[in-house]
Amino acid sequence: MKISLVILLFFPLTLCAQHSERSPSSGLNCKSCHSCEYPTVTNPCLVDCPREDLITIRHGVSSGPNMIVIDRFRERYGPVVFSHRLHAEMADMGGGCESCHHYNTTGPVLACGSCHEPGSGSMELGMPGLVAAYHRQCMSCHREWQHTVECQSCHALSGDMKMAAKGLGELKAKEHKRISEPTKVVFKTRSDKGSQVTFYHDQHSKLFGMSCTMCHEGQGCVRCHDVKKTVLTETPVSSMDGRTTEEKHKACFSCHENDKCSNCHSDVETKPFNHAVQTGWVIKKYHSNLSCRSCHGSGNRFVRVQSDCGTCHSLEKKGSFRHEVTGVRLDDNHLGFACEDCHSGNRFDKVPDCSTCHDDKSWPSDRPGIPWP
Amino acid sequence: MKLSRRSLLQFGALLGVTIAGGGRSARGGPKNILSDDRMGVLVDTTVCVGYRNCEWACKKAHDMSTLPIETYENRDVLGQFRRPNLESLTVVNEFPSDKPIPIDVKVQCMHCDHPACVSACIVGAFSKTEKGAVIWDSDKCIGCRYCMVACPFQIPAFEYNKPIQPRILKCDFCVHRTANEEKPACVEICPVEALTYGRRHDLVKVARERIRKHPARYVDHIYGEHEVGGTSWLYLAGKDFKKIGFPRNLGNNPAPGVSESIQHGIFAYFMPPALLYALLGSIMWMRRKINHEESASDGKP
Repeated sequence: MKISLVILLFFPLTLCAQHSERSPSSGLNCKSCHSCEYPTVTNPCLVDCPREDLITIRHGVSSGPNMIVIDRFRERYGPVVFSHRLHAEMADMGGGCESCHHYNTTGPVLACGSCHEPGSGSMELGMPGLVAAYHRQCMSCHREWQHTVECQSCHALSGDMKMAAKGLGELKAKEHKRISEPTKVVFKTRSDKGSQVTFYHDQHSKLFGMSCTMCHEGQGCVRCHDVKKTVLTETPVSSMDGRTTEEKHKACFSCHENDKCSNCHSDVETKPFNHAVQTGWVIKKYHSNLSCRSCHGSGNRFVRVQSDCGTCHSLEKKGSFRHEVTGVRLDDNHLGFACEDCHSGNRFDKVPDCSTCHDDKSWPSDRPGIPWP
Repeated sequence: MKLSRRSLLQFGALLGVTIAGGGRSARGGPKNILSDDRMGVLVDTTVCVGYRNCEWACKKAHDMSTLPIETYENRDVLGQFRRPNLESLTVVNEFPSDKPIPIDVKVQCMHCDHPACVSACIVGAFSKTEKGAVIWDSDKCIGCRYCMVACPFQIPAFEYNKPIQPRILKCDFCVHRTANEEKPACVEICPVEALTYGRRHDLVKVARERIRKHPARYVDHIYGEHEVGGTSWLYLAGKDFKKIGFPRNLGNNPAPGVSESIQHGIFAYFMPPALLYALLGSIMWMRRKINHEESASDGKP
């Protein structure tokens, strides 16, 4: 009796001595989870769990597992092959790891089964068991784009081990339908600067090399990858009502922030981008094979290039430049010269000057080689 | 103290309210044993995927004939609106949604806290159990089908095809299973746990918490919490309940409340005979007075 009294009296004191603001294991502030000063086993005085704020999964796609075989319920179904990395890559374009690993607190990434109890039902009312947790997680997306709830699209019936053996090969058949992107989208606007914005979608993705997520950020996969969807629906003009100018132009402004309104807005449909028309510089032969980025920098906004060829070609070593791409293959006599010897001042848009070496020769009647090709 | 006209009216109004208030005690249906521990099921229609495994499990649990479970994957049947009937005591209906996926809603007896069927049954075959289920005794049933008329959710079905001893059929909350601490068959089989079986009081808390956490996912309404005085089965949805097949304008008063308050109210004070005799008496008195006046005028020269 006496001993228990002593313990009762001194226990809080020992707690006091050990008391620190943070948990040594997780580095969390005690107050994040406990409301009272001295939580005990019998009275942990837990607050409503701030799980949303504690999510700490911040790692790359490749650090997760590649394939996961779910075979905990093998007596009824064969194993489900889950391509974790593939799904992680998709999630990376949207909500990240948290879109499935919800409420993952500090520490390692938890598998579904760490919280959700096996089988159906759970001790905590309303918290799904493992079976339901899997189903809910998978079907929330698969229902959206596949429009089916067939068991066999994920489950092989017990005994049919083919699916597990085939692995990814089998999964290929299930991949999202590829969508044909629109060539152009004409946005009707209520702007007085011009009622139409002609947006050349394929040019932006293919020619300018923009990734989908640069504009379609956090929109969810189903917006485009839907087995039923063949044509992308246009955004109605009313959907922009009530938004600020910045919000309306967000996607375009990441590159076109400093452009004039008339660059995009017009009362008539505008023509696609043409390097010759818009910049006055005709792209032909060798340059037509280059991506925009190889001349205009890697940033969101393309950098203007001087018409002086030296901007790109000044670092060219003697003989390393394949002169034939200009239409003239240099003969052996001229191959060793520096560019400047003929193209004085590195002005390649001017006629080459033969008079530096030759008194009796001039361009274009005397070429320093043979026409090419 | 002189009684003014105003105070007399006030007294009259007070008397009226007292009488009416006394009548209200009769409201709320029969005296059910509404235990605080009565059970219920929370149906989250935002989770339901329309697998219809519940339909299959229900038939199995009630020894009804059914096709193999694989056939329930066929979703064509979801194209038309169905009601629970003789063949299936629960059905799943599908409704279009603003989101890419449709809304699936399981329908069965709601197991009202103040059931109209219990009130309407003239032989007392229906009863509400302490655990929440509304059940009936086929031996007592005389096949009057008043329960079908009374039910605000149009749930009880009748064996019209059986001339001898036709039965009433509806969801019985799997009383034979729950008595053995088993979950109702539909709850147990649901692969996404769209159905949660538990104490009704706890389920209301769970439902509230879900609405609080995901305000964009749910409409702020737990169907069955207050409808017709509360039901054992509760529903959560992402769309207005009127648009996903739930009856409109049921109100929050128990369904048998109005009919019972009229009946109990009237007969409690022995009003109809008294009123009838008062009416007859006043007619007689009026006639006598008129006759008297007529004979008096006739007597004049």
